[in-house]
Amino acid sequence: MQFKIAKTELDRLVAALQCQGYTVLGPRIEDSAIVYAEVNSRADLPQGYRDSQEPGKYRVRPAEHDNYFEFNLGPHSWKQFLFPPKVTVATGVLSSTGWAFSTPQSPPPKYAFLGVRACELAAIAIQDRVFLQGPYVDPIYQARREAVLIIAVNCTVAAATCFCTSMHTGPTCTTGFDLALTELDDCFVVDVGSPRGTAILEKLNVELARAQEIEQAGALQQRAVDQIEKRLDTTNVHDLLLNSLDHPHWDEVAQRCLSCTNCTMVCPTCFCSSVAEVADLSGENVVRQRQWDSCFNLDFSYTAGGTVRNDRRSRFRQWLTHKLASWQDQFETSGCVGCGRCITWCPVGIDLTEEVDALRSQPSSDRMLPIVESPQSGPLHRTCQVRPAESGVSSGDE
Amino acid sequence: MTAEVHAVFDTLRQLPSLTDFSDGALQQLASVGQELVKPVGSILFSEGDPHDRIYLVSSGTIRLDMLTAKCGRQTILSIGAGDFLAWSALIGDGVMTSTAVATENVKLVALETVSLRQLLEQHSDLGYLVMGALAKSLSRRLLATRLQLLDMYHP
Amino acid sequence: MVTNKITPQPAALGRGGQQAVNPELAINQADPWRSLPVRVKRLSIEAPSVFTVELAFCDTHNQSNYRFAPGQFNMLYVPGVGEAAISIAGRSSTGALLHTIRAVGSVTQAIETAGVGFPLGLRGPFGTAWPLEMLAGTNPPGDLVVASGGIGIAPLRAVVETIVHERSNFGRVSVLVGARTSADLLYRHDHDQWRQSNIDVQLTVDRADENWQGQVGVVTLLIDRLTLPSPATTQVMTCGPEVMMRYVAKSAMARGIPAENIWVTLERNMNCAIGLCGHCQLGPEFICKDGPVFPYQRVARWLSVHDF
Repeated sequence: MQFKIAKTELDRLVAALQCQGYTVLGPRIEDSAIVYAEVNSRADLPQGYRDSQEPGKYRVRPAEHDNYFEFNLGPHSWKQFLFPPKVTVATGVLSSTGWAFSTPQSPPPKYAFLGVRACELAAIAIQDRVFLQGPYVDPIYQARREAVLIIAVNCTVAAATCFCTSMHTGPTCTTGFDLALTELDDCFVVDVGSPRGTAILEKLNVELARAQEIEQAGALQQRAVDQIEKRLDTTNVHDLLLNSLDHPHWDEVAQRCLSCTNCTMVCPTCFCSSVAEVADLSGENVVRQRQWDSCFNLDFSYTAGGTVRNDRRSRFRQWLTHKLASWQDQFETSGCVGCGRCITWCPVGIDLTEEVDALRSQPSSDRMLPIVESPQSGPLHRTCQVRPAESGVSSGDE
Repeated sequence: MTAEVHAVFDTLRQLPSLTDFSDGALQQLASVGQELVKPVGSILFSEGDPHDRIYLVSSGTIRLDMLTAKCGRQTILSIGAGDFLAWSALIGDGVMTSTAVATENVKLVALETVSLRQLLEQHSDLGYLVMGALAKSLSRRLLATRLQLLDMYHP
Repeated sequence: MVTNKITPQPAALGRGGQQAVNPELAINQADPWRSLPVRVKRLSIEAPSVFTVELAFCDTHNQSNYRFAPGQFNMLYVPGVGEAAISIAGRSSTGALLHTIRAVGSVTQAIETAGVGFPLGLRGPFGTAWPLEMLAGTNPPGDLVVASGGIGIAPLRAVVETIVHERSNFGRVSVLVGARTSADLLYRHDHDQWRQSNIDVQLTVDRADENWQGQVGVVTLLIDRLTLPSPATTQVMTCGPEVMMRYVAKSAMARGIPAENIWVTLERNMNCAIGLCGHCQLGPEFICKDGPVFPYQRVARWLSVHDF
């Protein structure tokens, strides 16, 4: 059964959620980008705007429509609210009897997400698998995740960087939401995903959607499908990548990759983190703060015996093979949802779909040592090294 | 088989480096072998000296020393059960590249190189086996030396 | 449907029936981020920049509840400095937990300079254990070859300690210990006790100095020479530089020991110890929760990839 609400009902929806104690988070324009932040009414939403995306490029501009959700994805993902970029995992206080350690017991923030796309629902499901369904549960993610309410939005347009159809995650929301909206010119068609969604809907002026509106919603969702041009060929991609670890193409990518970590920061599934120690001047009160980290950082793989992944080649390879291959071994799912953020926000426009194609099109047996270039050839050129075959002797390029 | 050849055969049969050898091949080898027992501290040969026997160690350990300007005698490797010893006598120029000192009481089978070489030339299938076993033993020693180098020079 | 209550599922990681975290080995703390207060009971120098620290829980309840299996590790915490993953080398006669540490980073150096009574934090134990049940669970008990390089003897010390205490549960045991020099050989004061328990202890060094009369060379050579009456039922447990472990495995297989009987323990950067921070990945494996002890065959493929 599908319902419809008038667009003005968005204000009542936000108010109803706030009334129940939720902080409502949704899309807003800040610093020339559509980000996710607190919204208090539909006036906060990017009505009449559209984003345009391509490798290494993102723009938000006014468009010829009055719709609230006729855009795709910005640099933010919902990850930041469930798996915060910086969060206290433990604290310690020193007294004469020694250290007393504790972990945060305060109730988690109660968030309602407004405007979650299908690929982002898939990303949340993947992080659920990582943080909640392994042998150890992350208590911080768990508390926030259990409190969250999700109002999804079906995409009716697609960006040039979108490839959710290849990853089978969208563009239409099928599961993982409390309510899902499809925006028509004059109303939203509403799907209900949970009893909580029903309860919220009961606070609004709701009608049953007419067949014509349901049909129109379907057509708009199909329009998004039709606009998606990017493809990631996932056929046997697990074995393809793990059998290509010595492929010469990694060296080629390494010449472009800046190891800037943007792709991992914007990725809605990347979960790497590090804990930092924060102490007061006395050293008797310490806070352990977990922060997002990235496999592109040099010290990420530091060990007592040396840094494991010393060059950009090995770090890019780690990211891509983890995302598309070993993630499947670890979590029975791909780590990629096809949102395309890593393509848009890569400053040099590295497109993982093209990198997979390149690995696929060349035989991996042609492994060659990287060409030694003169160190004078400029900062972006790799001052390459010949790697000892098995010594593990490190020879970094940093 | 004489009693002595039989004893040598029994010793060789126990060696992990010769498990591939048939009884017949081992008997042939035993016919030119002689069992030796050397007490701890014995010098079996010295660096720079010619030597006319190659050994298979059946028990005990032997250290190989090389002379260095700064450190004097420096032990570079220990040899033990199953290992070939003094292989330069068979395939080198017969001049020893290290000094061998028994660090325990050792039992060895000594093979006199002139008669061993004759035997291997006459029986090329046995020659193939012996040279193969020698090459495997040396490759294990080379691998160990590489690991030793990596460990000593890796930061 | 959104499930409002998210129930943690028991571990069932999909690598074809391979081990997940054994519930008996899991930490018994409700919150895996919570450290328990401990104090330094004793600190002894083992070798240049290598020391063993004995830690006791401040709370007797924690002290009596704490269990570990040889091969597992703890996260030792110096508040204000950070944590380091350190394998558990055993227990002292008073029940304190032994950790043998090389002082190379800020955390380990802070522990090195800590005096007796210094308060620290501890989370653990984490990770997989050496498969002692494969030896003690058979009739007759299986044979074991322990091969270590350098500080790699530390996570195997607890294995030897278990064998000393339950000697009749194990068959022939050889402990092959390699180090750069005689000064780098750890636990030399334990070797007599090990030998009295009918354990074959062989030491070898890369470089002999005037104080050293023993063997020179690497542990692979000791494997080449070992007497192995029943290689098919002999297990090999090894810890040391990865390149050493690869060739220990190769040497053991050349002696007729089946590949599936060979066990290694691996080291990577560890931050959370519970498989959630991503640092310790080696291909599909999280060293902290899928390891650190692995069947060699499961990780052999990744160990031969440079920089992986």
